[in-house]
Amino acid sequence: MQSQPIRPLLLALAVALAPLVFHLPWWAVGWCLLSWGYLYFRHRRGGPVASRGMRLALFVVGMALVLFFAGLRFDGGDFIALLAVMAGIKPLEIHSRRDSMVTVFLAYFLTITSLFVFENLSMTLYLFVSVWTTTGVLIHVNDPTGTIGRQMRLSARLILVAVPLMALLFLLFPRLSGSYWGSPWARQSRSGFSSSMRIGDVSRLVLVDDPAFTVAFDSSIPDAGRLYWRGIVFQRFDGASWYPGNRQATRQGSVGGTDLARYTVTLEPHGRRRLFVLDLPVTANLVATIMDDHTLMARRPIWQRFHYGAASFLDARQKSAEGPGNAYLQLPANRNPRTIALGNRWARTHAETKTVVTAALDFFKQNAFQYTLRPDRLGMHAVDDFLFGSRKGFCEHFATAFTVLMRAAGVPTRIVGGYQGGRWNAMGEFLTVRHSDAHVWCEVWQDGQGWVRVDPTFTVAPDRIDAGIERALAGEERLWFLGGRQGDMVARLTQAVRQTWEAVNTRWNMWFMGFSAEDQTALLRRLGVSVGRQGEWMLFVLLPPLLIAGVIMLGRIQIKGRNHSPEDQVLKVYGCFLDKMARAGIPKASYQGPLDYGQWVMDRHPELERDVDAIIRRYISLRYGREYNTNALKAFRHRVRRFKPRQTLATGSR
Amino acid sequence: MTSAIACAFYRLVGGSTTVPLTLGLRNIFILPTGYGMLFLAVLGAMLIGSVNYNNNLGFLLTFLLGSLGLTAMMHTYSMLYGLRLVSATATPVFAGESVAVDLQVVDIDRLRTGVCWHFKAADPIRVDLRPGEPARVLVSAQTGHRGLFNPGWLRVACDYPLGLFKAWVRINTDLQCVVYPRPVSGPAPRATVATTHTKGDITQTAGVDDFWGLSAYQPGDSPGRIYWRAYSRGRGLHTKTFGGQAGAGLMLDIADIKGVDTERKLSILCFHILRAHHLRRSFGMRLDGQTFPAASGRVHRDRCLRALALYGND
Repeated sequence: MQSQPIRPLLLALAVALAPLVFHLPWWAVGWCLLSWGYLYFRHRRGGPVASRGMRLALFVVGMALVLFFAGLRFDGGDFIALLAVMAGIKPLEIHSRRDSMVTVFLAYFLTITSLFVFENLSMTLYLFVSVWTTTGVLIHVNDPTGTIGRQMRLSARLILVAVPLMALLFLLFPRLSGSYWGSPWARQSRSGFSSSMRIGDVSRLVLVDDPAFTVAFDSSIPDAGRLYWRGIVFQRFDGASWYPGNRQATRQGSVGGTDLARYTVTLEPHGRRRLFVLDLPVTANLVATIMDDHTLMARRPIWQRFHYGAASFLDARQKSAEGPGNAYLQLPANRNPRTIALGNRWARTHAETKTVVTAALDFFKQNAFQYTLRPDRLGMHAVDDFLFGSRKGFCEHFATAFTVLMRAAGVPTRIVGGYQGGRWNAMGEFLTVRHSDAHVWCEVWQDGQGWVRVDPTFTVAPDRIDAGIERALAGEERLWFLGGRQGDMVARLTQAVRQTWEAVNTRWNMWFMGFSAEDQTALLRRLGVSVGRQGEWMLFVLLPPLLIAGVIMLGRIQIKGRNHSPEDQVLKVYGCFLDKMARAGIPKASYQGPLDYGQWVMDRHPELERDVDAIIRRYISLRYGREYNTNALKAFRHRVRRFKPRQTLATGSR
Repeated sequence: MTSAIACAFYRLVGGSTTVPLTLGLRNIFILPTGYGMLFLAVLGAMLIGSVNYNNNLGFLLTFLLGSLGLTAMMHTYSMLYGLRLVSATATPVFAGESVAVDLQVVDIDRLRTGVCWHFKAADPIRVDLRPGEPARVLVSAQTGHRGLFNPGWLRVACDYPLGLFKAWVRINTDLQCVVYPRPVSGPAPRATVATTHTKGDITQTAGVDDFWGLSAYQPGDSPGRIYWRAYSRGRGLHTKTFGGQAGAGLMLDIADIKGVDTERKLSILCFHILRAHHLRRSFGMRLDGQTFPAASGRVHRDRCLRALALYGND
């Protein structure tokens, strides 16, 4: 048998697994490295081949590790670990071309796994590298004598020829909209708004520099002061955390306005159903519903980069006339007595809602409040401590204090969480909104106008809204926030490179990753082909290959079935017997017939005489004799099964 | 059943299968191999995963691999396409040996890698055909018994580069190889015949009996007679010459061999023909009706062996 190209195969596996390294548990990485390292050196220096028992033991250990670390929840991450464990031990048993081929297919499969974990431009490029390497190795497996350089070139040529067809298939292959099971991949915690907000959550979120979503505008870009990205509305307050209202209904009425913004959002996965839209949304994609607090909900949690188009009135007016319930006046009992007293006083002195709001904002303005990412620790009466004590806080402190004051003064108020602003990327012509743009603001109910947005943070730090958070923070703190990346040439250059890469990457994500069934239908319509229901189309594409595959399978099965003639079975049992003898160290030479061999064995090992003689006599009568019956075959098989030459020899020699 | 379908299919397609022929659209067949089916299954799994998670990168990879498979199919096909087989010849062999069929391949315009040639049930030989000069491929086929041997369908197959598809051509070489009987040693038929010469008139000619001396090597001299000792001392090639009695030839007659088994008799005759030829003795042969007058040399030997091979066939 020809020796198999172990090292190229290891290379293919390593290239396919490389992107997953930081996603794999440490022990799985070590597992692969150990196994592959051993094989690499065994190939160079020689060493023992892993026996069948050894491989089985390794397999069991690997599975046990996976199950142990996975526990009861078995998700995408554990599936990747399982694949890595298999990729680690598979090369240990490469003996034939078949093993090599299976290993190559495993490498292809690993490649697609990493695609499910990362969806970006670099991964797209890496995909081609991975396929190129693996295909080169596949060619090498099929032609082990060829030079690997030429084979890699051939691999590149094959891929180049395949690319146009791939593009065509990508654009025209029938797609289905929506997924069936939802992605199990990479369900680790993601940053973003959760379903509740503790005071202090937002200032932690702001430290994350990752993009939350990117927006491409179809209309002109609104100015920074109007970029309020609405995500979640908080209603209940327990003194430390805010929670949304219990009842979530879809919006019944409509909103009116004049300044309409149309845009497409590419949302990074955050594992929740909520989507972000500009205040206030008018229409949205079919996949989402607009709730009665004007937030947008997708049907399923977002585990993958998600695209949706939406339109918003930036100067929206609501037409709902009935006032909100008492739910927006709720306050935790026995907390913040001084704040509530202040609110009550305002309720007595001010007749109108508007003047109460002004009074509260003036209070912030006149008492030297400080906008900072590092507020002091607050106690049991958090709002009292903030308003009358430290007076240092982030947007959530201002919004919370404002809401508590308003509610104490009898004005229905709620908190809205989301993002404010975003950075315009001129090269890619899109707006990137990062987690560092996270923001909370308030909405006050005014009779006749409905909910009106009030942003208390704006009164304290107007720069926060106009120029973004970096400017709004005080000098020293700004440096800390930026992590010292500003000023010198190198930093500026890095910034430029980063911006360019981000532009290309995001544009790619918007166009390529967002290509969907709807886009496909639109493309076909532009080409002059109108497509009916996609299910039917799918049927015509899938049926013929399935039919062909079925016929071939049937043929295979028939060939298999024919192999079970009596002679074959006798031969098979006899093969078992020979295997046993070979393992006992008495193999049959190819020139020996059954009789010669029997005699030869009996001469050397008289203790085996009885069994060997019986087996060989039965074999000859079954195979060459006239009569054949199933009972004789059964007896023969039984005899061979019970025959244990190794043990007999061992006991005999003792 | 499948073989019946295959036969019917081959007949339906037609296409030229006899040498000389050009490999082309009508006679190259291609199907996925077992690995090809496995690859297809992997692709199917990938496609289902991509559809389910609506993952465009997954789609991209699936389609790339699918297109790659199709490209490889064309590549495999092109490894055979356009080759021209101009002749197939075979030299006679002894029964039980394998015959080497010599195939002449021309019109190799590009490198053809991993082209496998085999007759039914024999192990294929793998050849890389380089562009430029015509190539000779020796394909062996196992012979059974003496007579005329037809090696059956020659299969030229290729699964380079990815092993996912296998392209093949069935070729009918129309060869009738002559298979001599297997030589079996046995007692020689003791019948030395007198030649036409008178008894006393014996001339000295080259023979085997007495050592005469050395003469310069001439192409065609038996390697057994080369004086290797001199050669190893660097004195050039010399041949030992022996003297013998011309005309003291053997007459091998099948009737003189005892026994009933004709095949065995033929085998013994064959052995003695070879022996006599090796010893450079002249011999004659009588086979029932046919008689071959005493002579020596390769042509004579081959004529006799051929008669043995075809004995009883016509």
